[in-house]
Amino acid sequence: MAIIYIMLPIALALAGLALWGFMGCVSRGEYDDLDTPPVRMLADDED
Amino acid sequence: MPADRANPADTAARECECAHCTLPVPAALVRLGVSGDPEARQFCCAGCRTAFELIHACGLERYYGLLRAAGTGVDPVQSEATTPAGDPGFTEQQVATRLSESFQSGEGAASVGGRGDRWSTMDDAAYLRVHAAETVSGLRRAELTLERVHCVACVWLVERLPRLVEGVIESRLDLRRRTATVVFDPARAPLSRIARTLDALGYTPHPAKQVSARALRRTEDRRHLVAVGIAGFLMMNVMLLAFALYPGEFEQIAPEYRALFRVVSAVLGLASIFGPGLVFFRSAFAALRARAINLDAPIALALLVGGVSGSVNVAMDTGEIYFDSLSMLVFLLLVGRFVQSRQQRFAADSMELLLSIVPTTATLVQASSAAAGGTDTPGATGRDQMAAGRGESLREVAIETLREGDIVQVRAGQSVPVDGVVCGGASAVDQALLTGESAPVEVMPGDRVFAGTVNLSGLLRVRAAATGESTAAARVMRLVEEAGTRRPPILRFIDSIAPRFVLVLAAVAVATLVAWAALGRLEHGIDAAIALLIVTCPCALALAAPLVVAVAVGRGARRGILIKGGDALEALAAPGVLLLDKTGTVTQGQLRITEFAGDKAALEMAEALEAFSSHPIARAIRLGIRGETPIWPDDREAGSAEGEREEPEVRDVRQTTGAGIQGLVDGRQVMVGSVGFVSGGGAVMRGLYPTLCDAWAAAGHTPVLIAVDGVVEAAVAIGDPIRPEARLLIDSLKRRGWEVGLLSGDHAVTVAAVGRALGLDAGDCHGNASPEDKLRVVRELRERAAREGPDGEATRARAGKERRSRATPVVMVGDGVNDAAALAAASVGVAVHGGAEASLAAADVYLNAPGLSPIADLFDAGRHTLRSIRATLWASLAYNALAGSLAITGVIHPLVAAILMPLSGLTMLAIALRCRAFVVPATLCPGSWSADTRVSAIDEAAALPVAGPLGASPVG
Repeated sequence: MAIIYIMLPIALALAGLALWGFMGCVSRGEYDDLDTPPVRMLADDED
Repeated sequence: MPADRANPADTAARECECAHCTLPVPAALVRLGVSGDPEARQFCCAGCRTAFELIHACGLERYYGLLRAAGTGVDPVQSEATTPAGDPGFTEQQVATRLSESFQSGEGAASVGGRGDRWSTMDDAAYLRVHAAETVSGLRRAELTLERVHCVACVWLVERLPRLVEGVIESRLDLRRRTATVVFDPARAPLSRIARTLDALGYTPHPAKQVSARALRRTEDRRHLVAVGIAGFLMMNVMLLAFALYPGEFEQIAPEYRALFRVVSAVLGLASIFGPGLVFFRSAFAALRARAINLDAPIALALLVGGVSGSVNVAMDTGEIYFDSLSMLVFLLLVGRFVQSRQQRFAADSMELLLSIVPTTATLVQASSAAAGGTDTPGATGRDQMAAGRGESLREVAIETLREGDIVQVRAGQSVPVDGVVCGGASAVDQALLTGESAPVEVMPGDRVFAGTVNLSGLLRVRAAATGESTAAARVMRLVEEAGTRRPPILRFIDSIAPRFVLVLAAVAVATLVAWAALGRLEHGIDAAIALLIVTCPCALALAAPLVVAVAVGRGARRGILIKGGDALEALAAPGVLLLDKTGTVTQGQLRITEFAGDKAALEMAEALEAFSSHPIARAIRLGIRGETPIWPDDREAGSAEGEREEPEVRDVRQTTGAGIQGLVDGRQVMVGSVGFVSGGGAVMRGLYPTLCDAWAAAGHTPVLIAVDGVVEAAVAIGDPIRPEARLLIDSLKRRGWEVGLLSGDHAVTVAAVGRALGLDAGDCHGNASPEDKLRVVRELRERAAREGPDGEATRARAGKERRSRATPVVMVGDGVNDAAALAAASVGVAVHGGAEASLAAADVYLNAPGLSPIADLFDAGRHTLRSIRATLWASLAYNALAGSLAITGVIHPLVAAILMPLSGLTMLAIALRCRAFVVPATLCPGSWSADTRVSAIDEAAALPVAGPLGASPVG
């Protein structure tokens, strides 16, 4: 089980990557408007 | 091909719908084809026709399919653009081609025969600098607030703007904020063309106001969301590690791995406490500096104690750690705050949205040294051009650029943009915005007019005396700010509980310590006390009660009841004093015919004559015949009064401002006006007319006489009718223990008459009230309420301590600017549909739907909300008692704590969702208060509201 010493930091790093991606999305304004995308999807079968 | 008049016999059989907005097309406008049958496509107005043709010209017919799928329709287009479609010289195809060409080439409304173009100011460099930011590639991004967007079809169409206007690169619509963000190439697509196109489609654009404040809030929101994300990340990882540790307790985990997990837990846990969790410390210390204990104090205490003791235990490799519960606490509380702030943001945004939809331009009259070449009166119409004298030019400018001494021209139907003195023209203005009175006031050169009032009948020239912040309306706004106190969004009684909670907790912790020490196990005692501090959590107060409020506010918003702060709901739970404004609130706010006597034919002649006037009384008369609720509805049903009747021939119309109108109708001399006007014109009043007029005047109505060929043949009483549900509402409220009164700026006689009709005591009806008077009345009532206490009995004045949440609420309902200060001073201020900007800003609640039944809904909701909050308090008490007793006796274990906390959270959530506020609309029928039938509260889940204000149907 000594492998845990390597796996734990890797797991944290992977999760941290996801967090970093999340923060990037927020700063780019993807979460500013959460109400229109569901509505927009209703019409989205072309272009 | 000229449009033939439809055969009356056939129109009854054919129901023609407008191809764009699906409202019925008036029979007189039905166009017939060559064969004599109605053409395939009909339109109710030029605006709808333009929109329809524009949409088809660009191949966007899918719009209509989407509208049907969404189950909504569009309102008739009331844009300023008109089309030559009414011109018989064009075929449909020609019109469509010409339209798309003209829009593409930028001639737009002006070339298409439009009345006036207010969009050209958008191309000024100054305007663009403020409202359209430059992007990296030389394009510009502009934010425009649009009217009437409410569904998927609107989103779809607005986002297809690149197809409608060449040069637009991208267009995104934010449905909740009704703001479209358009990226365009200013060289190929001037902003004015974009605006014109949107207007022609029915989505009149306005520049998004307060861009910098909005950007600030956006940053704040993002930061908040990031904090939630980080807290979530940390919490999940700590939980994973904890899952490893729990079985390890029972299964003999190897000591080095145990140590590893504990160390990593501690690191992550401390990061959570002192990272995203720092807000609680800041808030608690800020309150402590002010010698107060607020709700964040127990939370900060728990975090601190837990963090420190946990770190110590990890370092010494002994004892329990609670980092999983702590990081979960941080995450849940941050989520709760996030939900709460979004809720409040929505209500505030909606109000702001309404504030931003105001006219922003004015017509400036300039000595025309600058009128050269192509800038020759770009904003003026034919009529205006005639009005501009030699050496003058008219320009549409932004209101912000007006200065004292500027002369502006105000057409009939426009709002006056500045405070000033009339220097040309004579007209009547509607000062309802400031005084609440719908009766027009005549103005002549030398008279003062105020910003925001509506010019009714003639062209006016006004020399500006005060602009922008110095106008009377702005002064009232400042009064509002002084009178209103900035109330915090947290429920008020929670503030009073927090210190008690902390004290009790501290006392119990000390007692535990002492008890265990007495039993000889001090260490155990320390652990127990620490555990106690950590697991007892004011979750209900910090999380659940705001959640209840958020749910209620969200539901209310979907019903068109916008509540700014949760404390408004709480304050409405107990009965108190209700003050109603008269005009627009209790009455319909529109002059209508209330009584009629005499010859019906005479009234029809009067109506034909009044078609030439835009006076409110004229409108009232026209409404009485042609409106939605005509005086004689039977004519309507018998097959269209408009198609049947021959339009009378009207000539020689002369209007005397403020007195009446006269002219020749079918060759007969007709006079319509006040008693003075008609008798001054030589007409004879026979029979009961004089007594009738006196009786009407005494009842608060305005008598208007109609004389044909010198003899008075008919008379109407014009008044502001009381809303039918007003009496019912007031009776129900009085049954519930509310005191109701009227507070109005209108004449005392009228107010007294209305009060009598509503069953109110004469002493409770205050008329002729200025804004200061209203403020004084509200203040006096609040003081009386504070003195008397909730039961109406006089209690000894509590020195210095204002009875807060349980005090008798003084509720003020109003809509005019003159109500604004009173609204701010009241316990709960309610602004009614159609209200002025100032009252919107001052009010705690805005009712977007017309009518008074939302008030009943509101009061109901207050009771339900309070009930739910109490339920969450009891649940929280139970949880804390359970967890606390386990902690005291030393039985608690991190696993148990980790289970109890989400359990309590879920319980709170369930209670919040089951809150019955705004679930079922109140029905006002005698004897019942609200239709408290089956409640499917879970269906009305706490999803945040999507759209709703401005009367459109919400999405989803």
